[in-house]
Amino acid sequence: MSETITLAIPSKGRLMEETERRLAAAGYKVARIGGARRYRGEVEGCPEIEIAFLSASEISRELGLGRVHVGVTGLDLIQETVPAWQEKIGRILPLGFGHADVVIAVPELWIDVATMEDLDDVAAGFLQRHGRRLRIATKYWNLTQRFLESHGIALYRIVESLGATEGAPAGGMADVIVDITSTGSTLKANHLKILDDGVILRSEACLVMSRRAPWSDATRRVAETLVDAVAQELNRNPAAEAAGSR
Amino acid sequence: MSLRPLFEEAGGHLLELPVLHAADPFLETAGEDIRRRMFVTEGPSGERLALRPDFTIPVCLHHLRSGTEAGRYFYEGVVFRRHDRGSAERAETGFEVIGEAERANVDAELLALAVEGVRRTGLGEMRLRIGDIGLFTALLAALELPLAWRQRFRRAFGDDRRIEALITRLEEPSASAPADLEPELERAADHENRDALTALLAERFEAQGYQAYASRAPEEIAARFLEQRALYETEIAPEKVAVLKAFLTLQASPQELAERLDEFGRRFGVDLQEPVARLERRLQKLERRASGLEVVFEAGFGRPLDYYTGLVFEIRDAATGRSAAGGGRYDRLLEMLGADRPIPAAGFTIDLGEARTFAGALGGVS
Repeated sequence: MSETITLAIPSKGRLMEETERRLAAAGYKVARIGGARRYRGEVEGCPEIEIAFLSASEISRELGLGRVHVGVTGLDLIQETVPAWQEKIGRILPLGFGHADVVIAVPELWIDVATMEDLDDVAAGFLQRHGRRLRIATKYWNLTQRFLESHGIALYRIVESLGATEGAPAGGMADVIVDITSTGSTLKANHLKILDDGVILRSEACLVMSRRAPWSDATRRVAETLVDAVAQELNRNPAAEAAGSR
Repeated sequence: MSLRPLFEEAGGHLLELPVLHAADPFLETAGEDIRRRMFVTEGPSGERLALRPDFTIPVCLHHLRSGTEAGRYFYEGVVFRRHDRGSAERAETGFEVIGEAERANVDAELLALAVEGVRRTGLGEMRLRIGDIGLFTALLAALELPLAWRQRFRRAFGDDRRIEALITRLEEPSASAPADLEPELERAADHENRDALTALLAERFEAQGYQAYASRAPEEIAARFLEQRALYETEIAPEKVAVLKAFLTLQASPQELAERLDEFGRRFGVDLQEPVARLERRLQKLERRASGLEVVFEAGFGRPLDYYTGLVFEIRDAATGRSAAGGGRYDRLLEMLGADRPIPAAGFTIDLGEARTFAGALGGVS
């Protein structure tokens, strides 16, 4: 059994459809085992690969722990949820779909705040003015901390937000937010603006190899062949997303 | 050799402090940055607790709870901080003076006490590095830099990379033109009419469903917007930037300090006599104890945390460069922790090494 690898792919929605389409184009056609419940799958004609259907955040976690060999997940989730991800994650192949940016956004009526430097000014005076530190609502603790540290900002507090983060400033739960956005329309609808230098990460769906998985020469060959095939197909046909998107 | 007699002789009371503390005071004062280094857990009713990352804040909280006017405290034990390398458990001892208004005397005494304390931990050759946030802010004021710029420099003080970035910004001011506003806001801002702009912002916030008084107020936003616009239009003379740069690289021994700073003041036409005299009073007690000790004042040495206000110092092993102690004056910390008025405070911490090799420098207290 050590000669098989586990490939984890998203279990629903557009991410799953796009992933299966990319894999099929590269010659790996995914089939489900066990009908409608379909948590396991296989690749037609390729017994060395077992498919696990998981959520994107489970996939990044399992890659970090080395319990799956290869997986499709968002770059944002890898960088946010896998501690010391550079050590645990090997090859990363961007797949050209699932584009979204992790950004820092403030109320659009903060007309005096356009850059991280402005935010630094505001954060520094916050305690004296308001009796508390600036609050940032986000589910991206690690990305937020690293980004603000890189801008020399330490005087703030994170308020954990697991949903509807964009509503936190208007509701008085936080002053600014760090969230993921693809078109920016949700931010706009909530009267928030992205700071000029406030893009923390440009994320997209990626095919990712774990460093921590139990690799053998044989399984590594299987995985490398798979990633190479998808990469070649992407090179041949980079516009495939436009054709498949709706 | 034990530090306990030394600290008792200096008038200190030994505090036995708990290892677990509410996490919030650490986060509110040192900011989110410390969270990554702290070990945070939950108490029985869901409250956030932390293994103490330092002793200073617990000592300050103890002082505030005690209700006494002034106190001298010392402590010893393990602190818990995540590091990239090495153990997360380190032993520390230290001494804090809270509520004494004789700042110069207290600072001078603490410097001497820290040096003697480090010496008694067995360090023979040490290097004492001294900085003064008060001197730097006096220079910023003497240069008549706009307030917003003074605050930026103050915040970055001690972080060379950030200071450099700020100086670059001053040298290339075109980098950040203020953004254009939409017409209605622009009309209100155009007359530099803060009230009109405030009123318009307030109206918009309400229309957008923002809770009033929950975050930044329209007055604050309007005022800072107009200030920033004015700032953009003010050119900062290149000579002032040159003075700043020259100051930040200035180094001197205590003996030559007054002369060097005097010379600096005359050369660049800034009057720093008063803050320099204040700094000199703090160094008085050091010169007599000069054996095995190299003292250097570095004008650019400071700490970016906003509760430090005056003298800062650190002691390193002269041979290896290992940090052995650090301290300074933090007159703003107690107010941040809930005091209803400013309370003068200063102190230092001596590193006693990784906790597993720690034998109890106070002489078997813990």
